[in-house]
Amino acid sequence: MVVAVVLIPLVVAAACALPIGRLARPLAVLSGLMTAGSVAAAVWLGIGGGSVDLYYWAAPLGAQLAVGWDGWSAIMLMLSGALFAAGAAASGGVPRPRAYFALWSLLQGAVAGVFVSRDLLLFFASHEALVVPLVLLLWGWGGPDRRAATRRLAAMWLTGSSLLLTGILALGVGAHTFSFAALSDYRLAETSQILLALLFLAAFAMRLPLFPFHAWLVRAYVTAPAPVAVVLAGVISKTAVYAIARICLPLFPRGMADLGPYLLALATVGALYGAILATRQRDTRRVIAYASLAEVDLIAVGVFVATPEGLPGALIASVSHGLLVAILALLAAALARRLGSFGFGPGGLGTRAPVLMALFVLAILGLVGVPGLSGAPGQLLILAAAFAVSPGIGLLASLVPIILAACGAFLLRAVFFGHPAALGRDLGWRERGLVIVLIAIAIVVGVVPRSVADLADRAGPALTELRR
Amino acid sequence: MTLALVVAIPLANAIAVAVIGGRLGRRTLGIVTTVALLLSFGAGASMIATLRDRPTIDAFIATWLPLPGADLALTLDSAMLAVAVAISGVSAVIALYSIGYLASDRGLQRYFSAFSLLVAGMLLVTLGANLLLVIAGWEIAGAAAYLLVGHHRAHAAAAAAASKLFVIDRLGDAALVAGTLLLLSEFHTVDLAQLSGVALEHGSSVGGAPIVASVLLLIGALAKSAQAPLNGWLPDATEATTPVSALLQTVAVTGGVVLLMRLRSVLVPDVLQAAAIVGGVTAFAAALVAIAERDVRRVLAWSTISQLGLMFVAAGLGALFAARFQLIAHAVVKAVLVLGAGSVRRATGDESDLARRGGVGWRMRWTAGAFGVGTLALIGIPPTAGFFGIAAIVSAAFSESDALLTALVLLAVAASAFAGVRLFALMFAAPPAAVRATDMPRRLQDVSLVLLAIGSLAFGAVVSAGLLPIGSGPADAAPLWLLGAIFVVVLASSIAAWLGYRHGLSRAGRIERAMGWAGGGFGVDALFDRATLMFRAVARELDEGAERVIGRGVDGIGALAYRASGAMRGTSPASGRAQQALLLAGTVVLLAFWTWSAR
Repeated sequence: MVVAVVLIPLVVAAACALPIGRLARPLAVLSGLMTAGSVAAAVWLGIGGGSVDLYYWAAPLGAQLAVGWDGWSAIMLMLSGALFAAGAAASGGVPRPRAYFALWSLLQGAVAGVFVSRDLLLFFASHEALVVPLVLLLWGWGGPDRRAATRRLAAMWLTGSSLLLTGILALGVGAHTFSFAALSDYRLAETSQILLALLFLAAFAMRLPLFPFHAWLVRAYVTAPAPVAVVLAGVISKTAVYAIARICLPLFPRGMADLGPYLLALATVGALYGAILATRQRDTRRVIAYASLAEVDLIAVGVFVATPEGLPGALIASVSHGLLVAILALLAAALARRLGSFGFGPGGLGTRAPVLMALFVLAILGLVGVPGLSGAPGQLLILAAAFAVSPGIGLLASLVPIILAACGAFLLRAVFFGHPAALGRDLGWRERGLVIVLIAIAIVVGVVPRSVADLADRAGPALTELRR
Repeated sequence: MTLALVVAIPLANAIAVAVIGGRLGRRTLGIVTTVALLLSFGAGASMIATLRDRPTIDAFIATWLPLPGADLALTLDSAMLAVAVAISGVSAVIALYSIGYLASDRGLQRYFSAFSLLVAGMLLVTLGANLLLVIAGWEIAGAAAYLLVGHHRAHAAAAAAASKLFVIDRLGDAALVAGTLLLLSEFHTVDLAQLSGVALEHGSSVGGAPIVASVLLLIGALAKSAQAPLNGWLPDATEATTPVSALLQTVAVTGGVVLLMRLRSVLVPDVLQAAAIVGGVTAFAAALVAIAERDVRRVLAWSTISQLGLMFVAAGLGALFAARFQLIAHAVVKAVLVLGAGSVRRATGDESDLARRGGVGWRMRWTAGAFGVGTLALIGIPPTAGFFGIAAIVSAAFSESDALLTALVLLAVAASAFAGVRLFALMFAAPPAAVRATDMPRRLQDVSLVLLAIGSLAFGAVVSAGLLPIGSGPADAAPLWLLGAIFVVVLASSIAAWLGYRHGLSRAGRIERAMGWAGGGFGVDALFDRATLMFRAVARELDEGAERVIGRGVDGIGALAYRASGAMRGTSPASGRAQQALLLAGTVVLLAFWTWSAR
């Protein structure tokens, strides 16, 4: 069951080697849906999950191919399946479709691998394996700035990864095991914990990205084709959130507690910084990129606080951010198809394209945390956790939604209000359907946030147990 | 169960209209919405009898957030029942008016959906059992208000007003969220009943956190109810179409007052005192601005701000009956005035500058009659509802023997009477203006106006007769001479305004010049603009400073590493040795680490 989540995309990737032409896209959509569907079904029925040891691939080191899922990773697998399906569905008419969808499916498989690994070396392998197809997708299908953007992303990520590998080897060889389960009983001295936590965090902070390691973010978002931006912002940033919560917190409890104040400060500053810079942008993709930086750093606040409110908050906010940023990226692409660029255009689009406007408004309301959409519950839980730890951090963090609201109101006003524009048709049914489905999920998460937390609890250990 | 329906019906209507409203006709949309709001009104009214037997009705619907007390649950006492009924009743009449007024509008699906959503949000603010649910209703209402003000997308001023409203609203929301979460971290619950209990136990010995939390909650209330210095959004929002303006000024703005009333025993006493003073100052200053304004819509908006200030005084002083009574009376009265002004404005060619058009006299007799009744009720001539409200507030301030507040309130009442009569004189008595027969009000518009006018006449009597149990207040105990004094102040001020303005604005140049300094709201709005400018400057600094430094730093390190590796490769014989040395050093470090960490 668990293995299927990784195997299905790999099979699709292999199938792309055959001359299947037009079938590639439906297959990719199907593999995303199957991932999400099978995980949801398995969690609901209470089967699968659990850690499965497949094979000792480096027995002398104690490394094994162990897979399995817990609550957090099951939710992330569903999100990832849904967004990969949505992204594939939105990838109609890409040049060189077979290569594109092969890389796309490899990326999906690698991301699934990150979430199901139950062994640090396997985790590292997946964590790095996803860089290759991502970089190739950016390099091959990106916009004008793709060379520089890809180079910067790769340089930063791989720097982090090398530090992560050092950390993993230092920990695993010393402990004679790489398995999550065994390692979580392995106790290190406090200084070693801090050192190792820093090595691990170096990689995850780059991926998240945690301020000030976000230099790759905007250029990569801007250059990426819309579907790649969807998964880059929606899923891949969540691998870092997941890794911090699932690896750093249980393995280095003391270290994380000692580093906590500094990490919290960085995350809070980053959230404010991203929100403030988002107001400066006059390009929808750049607005989304900076707003996204603000949101993921706010999620990081929840993880670093690591209280019974903070962790579920971070999980729900991860799901919400994934959905909403995907919706926004798709809508921004739809907007660009009408305006000819990602700028704000002449304004007045609302009269010609009421549905596009309505969906855009909904997504922005969700992002700024209006209840009824998915943004609110996660944000409220994270802020509650922040206030419980430090009112100062809480007050600073609660400025973020105001600034994002100002930014969103400005964007909507510039694009949709004003004298009716001459150009632009409303959304077609295909563009509309995809976004409406995602918004429907966002509304369900917003109205019944417990559904996410309950599902997570069904699939594995309670979220609060992540920190011991 | 009935309690849940009060909120659920408008909410369901909002969703239904948004999803399938496209298939309904324009008129049907309006009728469906009006009926839904009336049903919510009826559900509320049906609980009046139940509440005579027990103090509160609670409805638990579902669990919501994994925080203590944060469930989907409603609670109702007789105080909030009156407010809830008023909210749904007044908004039903405004919806009825919209059917006539917006008969040729093309976006009615959006309009009525957001309309119901706003009402549902405000009902949630009134009935939610915990602070997070109150916040949810608050934000939903704010988002709906944003959509409604921006309803006419091509209208640039309305779009600007919508953005401003949204930002100030979110500012209030954030303050409210922060205050609530501070209370949560202090008292470990967000349930309003429990919070009141805990706060009462603590008594007067309060620490820092409850004070900060109270201040934050007060900021939220000020933003929502357009009190100084967060008042700029309301006059701007009158750029929206008339019924939206009416809904904002009667229903949406009451959120802050409702919050203050509900948090009465949670907030720190000093903060409540501050709320009363801010309210008193706002009431007086805003009434002065109303006298100086020349745009009909803005006159009414400033008058609303002034009236809300009076409610803040009452709520801050703990005169809950007075605050509640004034809130409901004002909702009915201001609906008459805003809707009446809208009818007149449309009939006179969308001209809202009082200087550039004359009165319409009795040519619109239903509108003029209703507007006249509304004016009397606004300024507080007995036996209209306004008189009871004003009397209750003045006597509340008086019985606290707070000279400053009593003086502020009396001054505000006098100025507000002057502004109200001035507006009536200029709109109806001034030399005639041209009226376009085609744009005369439709029958539904007149019907709604008359309904509201009857309401503003009869509300005082209804409460006195005990039909609507909202309690009784200090006005009953006020000395007769005080009531007489209020009456004399109001009457003198009104007569002065009538004499000054009945011949039109051009004949009142001296008063206008004398009041010129109050025009534009004392520059409070400029604060918002200045804050925006400062924020922009900070953002620019960050964008051009920090962001560039971070980018260059990363690129610099990358280039350095690239060059270093190139340099190493260049010195070929030594390079092998260098790599070996590095590998060795790495291994030593790792080994050292293992031996050290495995202690």
